[in-house]
Amino acid sequence: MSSLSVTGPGAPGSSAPDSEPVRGMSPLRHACKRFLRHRSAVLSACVLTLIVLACLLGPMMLAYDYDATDWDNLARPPGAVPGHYLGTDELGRDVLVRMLIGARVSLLVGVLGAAASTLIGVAWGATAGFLGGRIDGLMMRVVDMLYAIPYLLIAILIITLLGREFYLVILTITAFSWMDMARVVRGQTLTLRTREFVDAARAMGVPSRRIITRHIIPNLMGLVVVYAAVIVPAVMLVESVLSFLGLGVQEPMTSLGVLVHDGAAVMESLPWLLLAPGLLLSVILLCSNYVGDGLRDAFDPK
Amino acid sequence: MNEIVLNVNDLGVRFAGHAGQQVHAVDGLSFALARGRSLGIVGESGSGKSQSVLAMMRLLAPGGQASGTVMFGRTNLLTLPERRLNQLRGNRIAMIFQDPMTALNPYLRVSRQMTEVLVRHLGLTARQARTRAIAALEAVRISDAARRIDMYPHEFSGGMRQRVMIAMALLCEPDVLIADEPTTALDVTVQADILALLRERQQTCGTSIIFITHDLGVVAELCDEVVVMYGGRMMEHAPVHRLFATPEHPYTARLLASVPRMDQRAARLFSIPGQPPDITARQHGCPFVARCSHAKTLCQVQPPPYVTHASGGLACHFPQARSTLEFTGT
Repeated sequence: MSSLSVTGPGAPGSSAPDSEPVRGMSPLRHACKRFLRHRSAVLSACVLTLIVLACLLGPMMLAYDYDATDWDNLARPPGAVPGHYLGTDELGRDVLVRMLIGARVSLLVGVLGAAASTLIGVAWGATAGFLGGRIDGLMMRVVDMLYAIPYLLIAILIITLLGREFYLVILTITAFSWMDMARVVRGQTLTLRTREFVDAARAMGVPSRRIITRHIIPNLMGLVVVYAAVIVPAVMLVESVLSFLGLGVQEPMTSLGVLVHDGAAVMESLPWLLLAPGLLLSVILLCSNYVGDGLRDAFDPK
Repeated sequence: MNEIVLNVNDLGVRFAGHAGQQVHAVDGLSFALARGRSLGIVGESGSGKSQSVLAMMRLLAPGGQASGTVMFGRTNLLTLPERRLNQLRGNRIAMIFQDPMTALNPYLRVSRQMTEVLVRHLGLTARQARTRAIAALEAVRISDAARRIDMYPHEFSGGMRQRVMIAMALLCEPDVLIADEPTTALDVTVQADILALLRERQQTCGTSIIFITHDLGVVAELCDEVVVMYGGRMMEHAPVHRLFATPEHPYTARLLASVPRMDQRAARLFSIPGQPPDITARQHGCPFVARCSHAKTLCQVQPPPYVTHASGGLACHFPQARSTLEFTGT
């Protein structure tokens, strides 16, 4: 009997063999299994993993720094100089290294922004959904008001006034991307609150706080994971837009959006400066969206 | 022997309706439940039977207001602070819900949901709680309980889940078990099984049961006493044999007449004409007046008072004379 110890819900993992010993399978593990059957999502996840690894390790393995200039090789196309695999820009900086560093920043903005949005969104939405009534109405009107504000205008204002800082970019993006999560979580909480197992838990004498942590939040997880996965590319896109408008991170630090912006200026003479980061950004966004789709299908099979 | 464990007095449930009007879902429900006895509450949909037990458990939906008293021993459940209430719920008073498919948390193993109750109320260690939970599952005849306890609710069939619910409700051997139509969502073959199980467990635990149903057959099988509700009010309260043999309230009589019988051939099943009253509208007379073939002018204007007698009670101006009882159909 000791071998049947109580453990947490099935850990998400890719190692879900079909011939498992018969043992309770959590909805989360079912979702993982379904996700693994989603070809394009799995492929996208692999590509994303590769890109992330390249971003983390690549700059260390390449001979050039992202801000080091190679005066002998200015504006060389890909392949023209050995060592500069994707060529150099007009200041002689290695495009591949700059791109990987830029993707690092973009991904970081995406993940941090999405994490912050998720935290705020879940807290806001769950609170509104639980308390209900007048407080719910008030909190949701705040969300509506934020929706009505043109975020780009405010973002430009904040960044112009307070400076082009990395954390400010994330803060600004977060401030305008948590509302979707809040709405979705609130809706789900409202329906969960009336589910019979919540009443059943209450009838068992479980206090409200524990009902929230033990019964409501786990039931929200699937939805939150799906939405968080969708927010990541959305945030990255907003960062690119801001960078493209010249409001991204400060030179010589860069991001994919900044690179695309700079590349677009010399598109006719030095096209690889636009194509390389543009392509990478597109691939990252496409893959993130596929992964998001796969997660949604896995958690909500319809 | 006949110790009263639950005494409900003049229980009412009000909901704030639109435009500030009040909807009386339950009005003046009173009964006393003795230890080890089982009470059936029967009525049509919307008669207030579910709302009254939800009120007793303090599980009314937002906007619901309970009045009257529900005395559990010397404590009034309706005014008890939440913290004290949570010490009683699941411990001394437990409830089984109608739909076992939705009453278990799909994201938690059954073991977690069961041991939570024991750890919370009886202060057992995780290991003791687990042993006890397995024993409880075995008591409701779930085979291979030691393995099944680590499964998730969706890996059980409907009948099995209801057994899990029963096992869970009886974990702490409560004084009162409230069962809100526990067999309605189940197959007929499983129903009989679950009822037999409930009765068996009730006898071993010495638990009193409040059984809500609209199935008179179930009442006859399981209950000692019956309360008949209609339009949120108590119509009749009697020991089960008396009620089935000689119903005094016209509504009870007609309810019994609409039960299909195996020993009589009928071309058409009897049904009570008309619709249940709209409880959002203010009632003046007896709630059953519109559908009662014995209604007189008095019934239209004055609600019949609920009068208790030795073995129950009745709310009717013109109770059926026991000997002349007959059903004339429509």
